[in-house]
Amino acid sequence: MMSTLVMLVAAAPTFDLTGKLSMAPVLTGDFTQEKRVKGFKRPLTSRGTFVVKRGQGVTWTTTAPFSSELVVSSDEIVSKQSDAVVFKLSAEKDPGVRLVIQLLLSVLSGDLAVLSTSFTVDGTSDRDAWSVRLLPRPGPLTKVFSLLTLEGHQYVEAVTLREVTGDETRITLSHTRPLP
Amino acid sequence: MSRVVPVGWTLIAMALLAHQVFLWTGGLALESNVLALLPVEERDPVVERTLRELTERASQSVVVLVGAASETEALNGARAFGAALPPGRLVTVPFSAANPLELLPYREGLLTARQADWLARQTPQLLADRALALLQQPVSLRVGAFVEDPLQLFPEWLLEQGSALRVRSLGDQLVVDLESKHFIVLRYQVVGSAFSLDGEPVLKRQLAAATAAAPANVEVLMAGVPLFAEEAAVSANQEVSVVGFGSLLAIILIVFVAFRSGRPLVLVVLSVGMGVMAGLSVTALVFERVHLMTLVFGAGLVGVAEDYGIHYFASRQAHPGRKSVEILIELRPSLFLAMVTSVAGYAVLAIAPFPGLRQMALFSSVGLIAAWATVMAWYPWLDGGTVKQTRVSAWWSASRARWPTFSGARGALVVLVLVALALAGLTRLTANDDVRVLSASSPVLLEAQRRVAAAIGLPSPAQFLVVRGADEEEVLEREEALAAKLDELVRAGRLRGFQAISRWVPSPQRQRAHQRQFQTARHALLAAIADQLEAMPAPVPAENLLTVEAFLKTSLGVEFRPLWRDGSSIVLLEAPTSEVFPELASLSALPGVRFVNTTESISRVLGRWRTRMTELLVGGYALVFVVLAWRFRRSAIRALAPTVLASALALAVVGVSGEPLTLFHVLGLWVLLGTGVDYGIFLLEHSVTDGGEAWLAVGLGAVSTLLSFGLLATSRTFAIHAFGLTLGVGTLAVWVLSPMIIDAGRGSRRWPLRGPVKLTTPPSAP
Repeated sequence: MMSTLVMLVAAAPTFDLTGKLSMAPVLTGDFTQEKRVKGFKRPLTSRGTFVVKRGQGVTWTTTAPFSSELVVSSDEIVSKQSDAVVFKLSAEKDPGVRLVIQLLLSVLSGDLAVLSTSFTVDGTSDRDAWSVRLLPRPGPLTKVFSLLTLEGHQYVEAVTLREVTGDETRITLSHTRPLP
Repeated sequence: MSRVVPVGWTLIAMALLAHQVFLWTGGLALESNVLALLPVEERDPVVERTLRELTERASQSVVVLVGAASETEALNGARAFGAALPPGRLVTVPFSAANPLELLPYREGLLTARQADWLARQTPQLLADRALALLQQPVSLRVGAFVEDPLQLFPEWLLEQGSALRVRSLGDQLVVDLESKHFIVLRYQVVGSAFSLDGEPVLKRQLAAATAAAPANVEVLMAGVPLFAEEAAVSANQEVSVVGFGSLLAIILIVFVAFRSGRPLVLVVLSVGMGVMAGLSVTALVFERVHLMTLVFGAGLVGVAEDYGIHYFASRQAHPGRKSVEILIELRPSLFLAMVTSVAGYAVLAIAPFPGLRQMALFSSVGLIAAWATVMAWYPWLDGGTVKQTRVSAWWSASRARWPTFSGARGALVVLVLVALALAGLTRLTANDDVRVLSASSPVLLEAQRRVAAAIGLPSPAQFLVVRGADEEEVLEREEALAAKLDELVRAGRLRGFQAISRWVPSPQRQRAHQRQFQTARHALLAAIADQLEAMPAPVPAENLLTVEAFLKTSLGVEFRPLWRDGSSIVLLEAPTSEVFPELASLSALPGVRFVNTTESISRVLGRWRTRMTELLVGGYALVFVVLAWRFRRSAIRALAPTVLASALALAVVGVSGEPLTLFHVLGLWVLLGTGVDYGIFLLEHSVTDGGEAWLAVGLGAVSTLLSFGLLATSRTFAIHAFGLTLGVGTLAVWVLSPMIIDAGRGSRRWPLRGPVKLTTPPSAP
């Protein structure tokens, strides 16, 4: 496993999305999340809106089936349900949280430069369209994720996250537009 | 005199010399930890072992905090610090990241109070909504399969447990936040002896070099008992030299001025040397380790042990026509009595249960006996020829007749004034038995220690709580009751924090209650969303309970091993302050709970012994009076009075100086009783008309003794300073007052003596 990854690292060309992706500082849009969780017959689907401030934070507002909000800032993750805090993760207290924050921010804004510090990046691109496969580098992430894929045009449009437990999350982003 | 005595003493001397060579070439095990001087009065084996282990741990570990405004800067600083630290003395204690998932099999019994409370108030539908809402988040805390812990209670429990710890992990480093900075925690263990005999501050220098190598924008804080031990060792080392060589130089000068020849000089130094060697050898043989403070105190013996030799030579000088053996036989009773009273005075130090004092008592007693024995055994053998008359000696000897005495109305007035002065000083005396008064550590070290202890919640090795019970279950239940009380103190801001095993291992009763809540909630919520779930076997409710033994074996539990000892729990307190001690002490009322406060118990012992030794001092004087009365009859009061008055004056000086009265001052008075009456004995034995050699000897002895005690008074160790001050002032007063009182109104009359001592009659063999 280890050696395969090392080989992948060596083989992976530096994939560059410069020029393809929008560099707008703030993006907003809608999302549909499909989660396949072990134990459930059907995927769990949720919908909502998101706001990404490049390098600063994400607000993930789920409207259905349960309204809830996830606010990710540079040093904490706060999960809220009807304005009550469900959980709060502080990067101060747990460096793993910082990694997750970094991951979320860079996935949603397609920041491959940041992602390539934790993943080996391998991608294909065809005119405006592109698709990237990310394999976690040996470290804390390998305990959680087995594969991450991103695809899109001007914006990231689809994210697939496969966990080592077998659970899979597919997030489709639509109506993405820069916020002034 | 038979040859057996000098030959026998020579053999002993050779053995001593060989032992000294062994001791000074690495055979001497030294102790520099100030705590080792204090009494261990703990009868409870659990407490005793806990104390010993906590002290041992503390005495080896050094904690360094390298901090900066950002974590990256702090990490870089820590790296630079670690790289610049010379290898050898300080070994890094690696931080091994614990894997909390080892507790996974027990998770159903592990709930925080908040979780248990929350679960009790939910409906199945609310629980189901919550579980699905958690699941729909792109970020989750979930460990393992959804159905096992749908509410993610275990990760939440871990999170809350972690937030109770001040230190968090950052990669392979530990970080703590303090005063808006991030500090990397570097833990070191000192290898080898905590200090070196050469008196070099090795640790301090190495740490300073490493600090200098760190970038300027980082702050370095360090703490640990070894730093204090080294500081104490370095200053003790200097003190041994200053006191020892200072006293020796004084003796050489005094003897040379008084006798103007080499032989007295060599022989006096020889008797002192034998005394110090014997004191050290016996102490090293009896005690496992010789405390540095014993050496400092022992160095002060140089100025006391020379008395016997000086008396001998003063007598020789006064009676040039007589043989040394004759002189010695005549001096024997008074030298013996003086030696016995001095040894008795020092031996009293051993009564109090302080290991340090016992060492000092043994060192001094053996030293005095050996110095006396050297005079008795060797002098007649080694000292042939005559002792030169010198002008200084003659002038000094004659000065006794000119010395003012307490005669008539003027004498009475002077006594009255002295008593009034003493009383005035005595009223200003305030006792303080707090052991912390004795600490002599530099404020810089103390401040850094305080900040580090507060930052990382360093548990106090001196205060903790012990919880006992019939079995583990009872201990944990009792500890939970205690923890609830401690939590109140923490919430009230009275206590920074505490470490208790029941935080990680709830009592079986509580674990079973948690399991029921956990399983009921899970069952209800899974039933509520059953239509969404695949047909999967429902999770089997866990029944296994986390035991203390199992917990301590996990990678997480290793750090908590000090919290459990022989079936009893030890609750450690994070940097507790003395203001909260009464509240902590009141917790001893809880079943099975005992608050152990060594600072206070040592202070109490110090106080108890101060009172006891002060009361006994009256008895001591009475006893010495009886002994003196046997020889001097009614005049005994004259031998004793100067010492009584001198003791009062010494205490008065302590009172005026504003320093608190401690056991050590009182013990100084005991030594003063032993050494002070010697002056009376010598002066009573030899009246003004006897040629004044006793007065010369007393004077020469007093000057060197004064210097030794004066040097001891400069010690940074409060106990030694207290001895030095009391004895210095006392010795000066005894010296000045003795002839005033003894010769008062008696002119040239000899004192009536019992026994055969008359310098004018030929000696008779006893």
